[in-house]
Amino acid sequence: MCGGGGGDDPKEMESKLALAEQAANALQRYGSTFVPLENAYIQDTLNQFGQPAYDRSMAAATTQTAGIYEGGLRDLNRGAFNRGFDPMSGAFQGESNALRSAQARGMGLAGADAGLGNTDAAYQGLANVIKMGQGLQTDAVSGNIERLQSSVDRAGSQAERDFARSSSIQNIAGTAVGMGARYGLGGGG
Amino acid sequence: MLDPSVSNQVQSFYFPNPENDANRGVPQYTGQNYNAYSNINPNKYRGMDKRDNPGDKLYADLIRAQTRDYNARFAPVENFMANEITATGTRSLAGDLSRTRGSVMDQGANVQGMTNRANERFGLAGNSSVGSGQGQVSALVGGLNDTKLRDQDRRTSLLTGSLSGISQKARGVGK
Repeated sequence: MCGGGGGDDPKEMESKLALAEQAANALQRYGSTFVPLENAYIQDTLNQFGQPAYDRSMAAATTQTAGIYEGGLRDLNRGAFNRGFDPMSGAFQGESNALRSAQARGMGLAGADAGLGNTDAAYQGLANVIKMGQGLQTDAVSGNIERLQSSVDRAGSQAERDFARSSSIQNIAGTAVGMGARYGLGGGG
Repeated sequence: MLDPSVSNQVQSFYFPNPENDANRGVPQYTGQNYNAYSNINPNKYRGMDKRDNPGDKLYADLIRAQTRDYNARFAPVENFMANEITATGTRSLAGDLSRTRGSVMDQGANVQGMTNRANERFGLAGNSSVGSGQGQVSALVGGLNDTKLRDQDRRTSLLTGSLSGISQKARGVGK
């Protein structure tokens, strides 16, 4: 090799152009197939900052939380009437109102939590976009169902505690143990 | 009676101005229809003399296309994220506080209506105070405090997570 080429510029290796062409083909395919998908993902992620996305996730969480309490309240009323409780009695009214108040708090906070979860998800989605831009591996994005479920799970646990504290239910059922399962508070129903 | 300055602080924390830019709607993405790779021609330098480094030239075209792509599609998202960070949290705070407040108060009124209807079915007066008492106010305060704390956490995670990689990578270019 030494001194063989004289004053001529060295020739580029044939494989270098072949490799560059291969990379160009790959980028063309990326541009036609994946760039539109990435753009759609970026717009979807930004759409998550919009009010419709908040309304959907918050409404779903409050509705499911309402269902958790409604099932328990229905059973409370049925059990009370079967045992001859007077719905006008102060004891029944007080207990019922306390549980309705707990329901109001539970529904409100579950909805708020779902809203905050939506904001978190929007930022997480954009963090993934930034990683895509830097050529880094992106995190798996937790979906709407998963986020909703965590809000509803928390509401379900709170509902179990609220019903377990209810003295009327304890009188009716005889024990507070296993109350959640007995009153159908396992989530969603 | 609260001191007026404290009162103002409380007012601005729990009831921020609804015109605040955090209630901004959907941010617009400008790189939507951009494809930096559509004009790449893999065969552009095929007939060129090998002494003119055709492979190198094609590589340079690819790097330029990638840079254009990054500037058009990803840099605006990075700028958006960086602009979201405020001194105390993120620009979503006012919107989140407003939604938390709306959720707790609306659901209080909602359950109050349900309770009144249930009472009326028993022949009782439908004037329950369920959902509007001290418990609901406590839930509101707890919810708003939680919202603020989560916003602070979010700021930390933006700074130390996704955005921290950008400066490190930028400093590493050319090494």
